[in-house]
Amino acid sequence: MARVNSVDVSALPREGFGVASPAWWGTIGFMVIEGSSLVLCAFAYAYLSRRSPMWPPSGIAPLRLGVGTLVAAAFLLSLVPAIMLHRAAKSLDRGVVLLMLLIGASIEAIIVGLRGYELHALPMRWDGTAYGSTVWFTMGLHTTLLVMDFGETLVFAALFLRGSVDKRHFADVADSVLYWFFVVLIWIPLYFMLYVAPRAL
Amino acid sequence: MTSAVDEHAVLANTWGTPRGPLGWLTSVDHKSVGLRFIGTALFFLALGGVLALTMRTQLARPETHLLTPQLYNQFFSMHGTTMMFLFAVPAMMGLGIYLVPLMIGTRNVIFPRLLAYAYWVYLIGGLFLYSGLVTGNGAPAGWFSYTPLSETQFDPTKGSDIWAQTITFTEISMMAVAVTLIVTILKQRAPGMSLNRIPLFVWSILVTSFMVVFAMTTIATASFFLAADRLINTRFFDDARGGDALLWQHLFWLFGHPEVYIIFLPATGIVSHLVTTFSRRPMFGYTPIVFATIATGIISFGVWVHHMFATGLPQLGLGFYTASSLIVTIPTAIQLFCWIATLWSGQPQWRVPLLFVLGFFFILVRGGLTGVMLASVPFDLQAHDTYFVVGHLHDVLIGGAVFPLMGALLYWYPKATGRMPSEVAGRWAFGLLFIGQNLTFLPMHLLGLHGMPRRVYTYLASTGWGGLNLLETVGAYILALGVLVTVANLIVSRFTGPRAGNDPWGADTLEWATTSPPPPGNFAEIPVVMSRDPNWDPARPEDRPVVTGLPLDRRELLFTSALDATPVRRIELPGPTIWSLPAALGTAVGLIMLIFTPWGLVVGTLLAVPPLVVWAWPKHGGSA
Amino acid sequence: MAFLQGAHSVLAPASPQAAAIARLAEFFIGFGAFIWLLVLGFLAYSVLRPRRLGERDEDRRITHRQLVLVSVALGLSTLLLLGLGFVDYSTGKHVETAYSKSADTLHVRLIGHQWWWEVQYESPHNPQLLKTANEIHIPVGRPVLLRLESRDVIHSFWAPNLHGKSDLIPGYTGELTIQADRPGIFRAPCAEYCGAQHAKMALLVIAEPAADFATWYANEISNAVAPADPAATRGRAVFLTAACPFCHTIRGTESAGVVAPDLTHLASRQTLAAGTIPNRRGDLGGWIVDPQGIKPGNQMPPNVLPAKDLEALLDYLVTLR
Repeated sequence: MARVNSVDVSALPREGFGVASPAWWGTIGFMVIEGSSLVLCAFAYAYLSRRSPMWPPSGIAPLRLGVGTLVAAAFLLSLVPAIMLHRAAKSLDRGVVLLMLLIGASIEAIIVGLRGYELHALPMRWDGTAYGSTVWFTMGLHTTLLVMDFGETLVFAALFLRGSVDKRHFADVADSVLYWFFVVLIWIPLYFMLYVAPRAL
Repeated sequence: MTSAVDEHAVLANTWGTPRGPLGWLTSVDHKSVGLRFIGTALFFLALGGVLALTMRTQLARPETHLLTPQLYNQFFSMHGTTMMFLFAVPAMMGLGIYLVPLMIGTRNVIFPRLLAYAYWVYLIGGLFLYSGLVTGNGAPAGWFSYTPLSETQFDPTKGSDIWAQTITFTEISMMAVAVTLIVTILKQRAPGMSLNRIPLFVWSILVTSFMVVFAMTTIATASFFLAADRLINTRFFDDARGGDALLWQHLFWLFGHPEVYIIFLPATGIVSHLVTTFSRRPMFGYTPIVFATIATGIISFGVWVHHMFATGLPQLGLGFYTASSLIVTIPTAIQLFCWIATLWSGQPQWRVPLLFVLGFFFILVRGGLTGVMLASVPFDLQAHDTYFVVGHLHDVLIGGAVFPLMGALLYWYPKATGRMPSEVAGRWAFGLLFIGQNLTFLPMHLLGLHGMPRRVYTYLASTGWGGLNLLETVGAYILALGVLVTVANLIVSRFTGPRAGNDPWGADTLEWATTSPPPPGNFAEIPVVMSRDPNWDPARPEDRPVVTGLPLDRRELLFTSALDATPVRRIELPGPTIWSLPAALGTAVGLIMLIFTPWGLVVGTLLAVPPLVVWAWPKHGGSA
Repeated sequence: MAFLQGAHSVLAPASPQAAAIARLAEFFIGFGAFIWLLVLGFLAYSVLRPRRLGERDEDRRITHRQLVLVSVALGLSTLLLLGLGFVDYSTGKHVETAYSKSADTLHVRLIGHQWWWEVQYESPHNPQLLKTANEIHIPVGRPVLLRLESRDVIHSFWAPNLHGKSDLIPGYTGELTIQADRPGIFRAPCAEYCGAQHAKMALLVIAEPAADFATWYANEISNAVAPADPAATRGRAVFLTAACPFCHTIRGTESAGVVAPDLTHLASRQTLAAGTIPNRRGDLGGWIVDPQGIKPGNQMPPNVLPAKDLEALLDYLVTLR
């Protein structure tokens, strides 16, 4: 029996992108939380730098600018295939999405390797000085995010390769690109803080 | 055309949980998980209370030796950690988990499996903290764990490691709950429930959840720093190697002050509902109260230095924090005045929840005023770290949060159980709690001004502090009795209370428009909301507008727009699963191992990620 | 120890700073009580006031009048808070500046340890440092600049009769200027949780007239008296051959331990173990033999001495005025 002012929702879609996708919200939540955590690491770095007469402390070489810039550049370049993946996901083209996921996974694997080299090239350990601790922690936390996104890309690649996909999964892939943008873009100011600022200031 | 009875059966089948122990382990029903959070929180309240009673017994007379100094110090550290992390926030968020979907007219929260995972992580974390106490590794450095006292050099036990990891457990849990509730509140409100029609408790949970996301990230990061200092010798707080003991204090209080508002704001939400129902009129000043809640949440992030006035920071900066600490009281004053105005123009119903509102006013206003005193730097430099602050904090926390919580438990009890709690027991409980709280904590203000510092396991007889301490101990026992009577009331009334209908109090929000207890799926039909107090709609329940077109045989509910709640899409939620539990166990193993070796990170990831992937792996159902 | 009565109260000020804060505290208490009762009064009236028949129908009129009342209440509250802020600021300014300008500032270095207070008097005129522990003497009417450091964890110096507290933080040097207006013995319990024996770590601040202070200072900076009789001589030998010199110093002997209180003028102090027990022969003996029984967890180990040695040691120590 029909009631006054009742709302019939039977014609509404059963999928959604962006704010109409719970996974999008979950991704945003994760970005806010992890981003805040990285900001706090940067805060600790900046705060402790003001307590020290020299920063980096005497006896520790500045971070190798060439290495850091190489990694930062690789991150930035990876945004191009990322944008292509996002477009493919929005267009619901399974073949192109799979191709871009495989390309993306390969690029991420290279970047993970570069990051490993970058960590190896750090001129100090985490346990000698607070400077070492803040640098290692900031980079380490960011590396965790990088590795998690890499794992997620692999899972999606497996899904699009073998599993049954529907519209929701394209939305999830789009969200994961959003997350990759976050991982890349939050690194840029951190790169400046760790590599450039101590030389410039 | 199916009959109503058939429809109820289908709905119950779709949204229900299997019976028996398997059902309990796999349930993702927000009502079940919410009650578990509340029940477990009350369990930790009892543990924390026993710790407190033991300490008060020791302090009743000078130089008694009930506990060794080391054990006493662990007791006060455990007491604070338990109350702040394991009782207060989970109780408020648990209430939120239970009530929010009912109040906004939806069937479950947006990430039901994440919610179940959050509960298990919380439970394990809390038990883990106490495993430390019983093995001689109780947290030894206060609930605030200042460095360098909490560093390896000064705490060679595992106590501070266990403390730091307990923080991680509770932060993961509460952040998962917060994100879940934020998205649920923004996207799953019943059609027509625009922003200016959201119930005030839901507003308070929304603001609180945002605060949780930012504040608890801060303490989680800080506790990682501390854990790393202890485990792998980082130097964050080691002043000999470029670190700084005050860095910890900044990070801790950046979390710690919002934390107390995380506890207080949901309590103000509760008070708004109790005042409305027991005045029988809509809230005076709904919009100012909403803005006041948001303002309190934001300003609370700008006052933390008032915990550090004695550390020697530059004078000029301190003045800013006096100003912000004074300003933060203004939004609370707005709420107080609006509540009084509502009661003034309403018809007071003298039931037990209203008594708790009055007790709240009596104690919280006093606590707020001593807070205003403490905002003053010269006064604070005398009162800081003395019993004056112990009195202040227990006034605002017990008066400001526990009293509303007790009122809430009795008020929503009939909704959750279908039975009325005992009014007589409620009055006795209120009387005992009220007298006990005042007798215990009012004299502390005087003791602080007469020189008694905090965190002391005893004091000399010649200080003259013995008389007031004895009085406070008597008060503490009376307070404990009040808690016991309340808990007994909650347990016994389950079996002997008169049956309650849908709406025994005559209240205005949607949870009272469904059965007591609510069916699986919460509502026979999702309501359409036309006003701020939908259950006071003069139309008969069977004539009120509802949502049609959602299938009953799938776990589907409605996503609506964030501002004015117009329907946007349908969404299918995942059902019960066992996988939240092993994911939580994997997380727990990793976190516990991290106390001993950095490999815990790897092991934890290997154990926790596969169940996570299984729980989220797309099947015909939803994903999270 | 009756002297402890009133010897640690914010409301019994003995300095211009503490007096300003005590006035502020009294104002706050009065003001707070007034506002509290006012709010409760309104609350009580709101629930108890007699309701007229049919009042519910007049909701809208009541709401408008109350809008005005609530706005006024809010405005008044804001003004009051503004006023309080001003009062806070001016009290703070007074506290910072109300020191005697005419006299020299005395410099004292206070170093916090778990769980005792190391005291050093610095003077540009005298290279010899005055070192003592757990007790400072200050001249009445003269400002005293305390330099606050810590060797281990965070402690806090708090003499409520004289001033607000100030933390001793490792890695930082804090500064606090105090000044006593009248003679007296003022107790300063450690005011930042610092571990097992935080509860039993108190410093005595003894304010005395300038002449008495000068006498105390001259005595305290001198080396220990040489033992005058065989018993004390034997006691000194016990001191030097037992474990004591590992941690303690008595200036004028060969002992040079720095991790525990300086004992050169032990007998001139009022208390032992950082304000925990009175400085009487019997208490001192009990402390030497079983410090863990009195202050469990503190850094001093038990000393098992034959009774005759203990008596001789005490005979010596009580001469160290």
